[in-house]
Amino acid sequence: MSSSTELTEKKVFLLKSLDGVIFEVEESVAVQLEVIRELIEGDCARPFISLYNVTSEILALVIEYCKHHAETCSGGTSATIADEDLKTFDNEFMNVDENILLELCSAADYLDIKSLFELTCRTLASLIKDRTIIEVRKMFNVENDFSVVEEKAVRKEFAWAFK
Amino acid sequence: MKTSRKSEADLISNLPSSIIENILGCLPLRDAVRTSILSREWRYKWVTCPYLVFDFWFDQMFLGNHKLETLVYTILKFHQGPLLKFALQAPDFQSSPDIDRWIDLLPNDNIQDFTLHISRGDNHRLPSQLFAFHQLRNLKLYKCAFDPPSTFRGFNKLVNLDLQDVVFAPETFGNFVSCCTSLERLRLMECSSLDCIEIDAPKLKFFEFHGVFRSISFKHSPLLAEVLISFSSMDFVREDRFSFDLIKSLSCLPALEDLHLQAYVLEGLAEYGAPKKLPVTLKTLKTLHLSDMYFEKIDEISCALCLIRSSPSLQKLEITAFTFDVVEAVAEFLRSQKSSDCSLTHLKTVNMQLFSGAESEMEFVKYLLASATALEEMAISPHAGNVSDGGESILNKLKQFPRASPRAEIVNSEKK
Repeated sequence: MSSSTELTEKKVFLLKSLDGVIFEVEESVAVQLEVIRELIEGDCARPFISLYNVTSEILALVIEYCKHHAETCSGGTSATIADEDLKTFDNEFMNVDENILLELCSAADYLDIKSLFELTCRTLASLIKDRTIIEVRKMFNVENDFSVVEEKAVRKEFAWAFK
Repeated sequence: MKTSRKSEADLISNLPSSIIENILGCLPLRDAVRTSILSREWRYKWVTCPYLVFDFWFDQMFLGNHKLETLVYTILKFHQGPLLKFALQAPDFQSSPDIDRWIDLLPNDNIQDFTLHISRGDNHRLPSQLFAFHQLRNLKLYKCAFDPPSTFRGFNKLVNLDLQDVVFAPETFGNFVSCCTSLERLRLMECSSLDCIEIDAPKLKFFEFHGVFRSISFKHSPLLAEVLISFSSMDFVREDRFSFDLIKSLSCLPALEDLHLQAYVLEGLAEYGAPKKLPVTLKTLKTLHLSDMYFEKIDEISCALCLIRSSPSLQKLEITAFTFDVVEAVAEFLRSQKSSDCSLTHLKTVNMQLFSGAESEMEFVKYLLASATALEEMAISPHAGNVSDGGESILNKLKQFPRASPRAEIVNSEKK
């Protein structure tokens, strides 16, 4: 099944974003996208793989993330140093605008990259956790469509959570 | 650098529910419930969150005049969809009939993670419904009484079992463990009803025990690699064969690599060949940690040395010292040990913790340095209370000792 014509030592794959930008990635990066894993491990005759749900802006970030993770894990450094390095990278990588974070989270879910999905979920949760409801609404543009009476009722229903 | 892009659209509310559930699952339950007030759409998003953890946020201090019992009940009634994790670990939580009613409300076909932490009062007798959670992977129980129904056939997906102050009906523990065939990690802390422990767990990799037992045997545990045993009382010493039987049981583990024991447990080995050679060896052991090593007692030191010699694959040795007085006889004994008796050919690192530089400790290190032919590092961590110059003079003294390994370095691990 696998392509025997491939003679180069490093296989590359072409990923096409929603807005038509094509990215060239190495196999070590591509296999982290579980959603296309079967595709690339099987027949790779197609010219490029289309990722319909991800914009080029987000895909570039996803590739940066996978590339760093692939390089760190194969770098031959000890497990603890690699762990530390990934932690620092992840922290820095999560230092983005909330909307980008949300899109990264959706993309990680769609592309099925478990570690990135967990990372973005944890980061989003920490943004919600440290803020008041009003701040959370503002941060994510959530419109408060409760009437004053309704909001009061909800607060009363779970009064213990709002103390 | 912060990448920024302002948008007016509400991007979070429209995320698929599976993503929102995951985000809410990363929040403490209290914060997840608080999202109900974001907007109408958010009012009931939290009810499908697959994890319900009642932790310190459910302390009376935070709850004020709200009662935990009512809250748990309300939350369980609101909850919808699969529930993967349920944990009750609020501070000061006591046994009560409510617990059984809550367990009764849990959907038993998907719970993977269950924690019940009773912190004071009587142990809680677990209801039989719990034994129907056949998807359980992690089970943590504190202060419970455990008596599986006769029809129970084991949690065959259970990987992690953590029991603290759990009382078993007589003779049921061994049987229970042997029918949890996927078990990989087992922790038994202060479970007083366990007297003669029999462990038959084909997938077990990690075993930790703290408490008291009369005997332990591992029937079929071919993968068990890491064992930590510590005793909460010295009662077992009354039994003559205790130390020997313990080491003999451990020597039957074909994959044992990492062992942590209190040094005084070994004392009884003196009757069985120590300090010369034990009739059993720990062939596969790579890391040995002996804690509370009492450098004032010849029997203890000689038996510890004997165990070290009976571990031919040992690569790493960690000793936590426990020394008050200088006992000349111990130093004398150590001086009399011939390095050629030893088979420490694989030992690479030694870590001496709470080292006060007493003569017996110094002689012990001297002996190791003279015997371990492949030693790379002897790390000394000085006992801050007993050592004044940060260990400087001890280190200098140790550096004068002859080393069997030309590569061996002596370092102060506090100054690494």
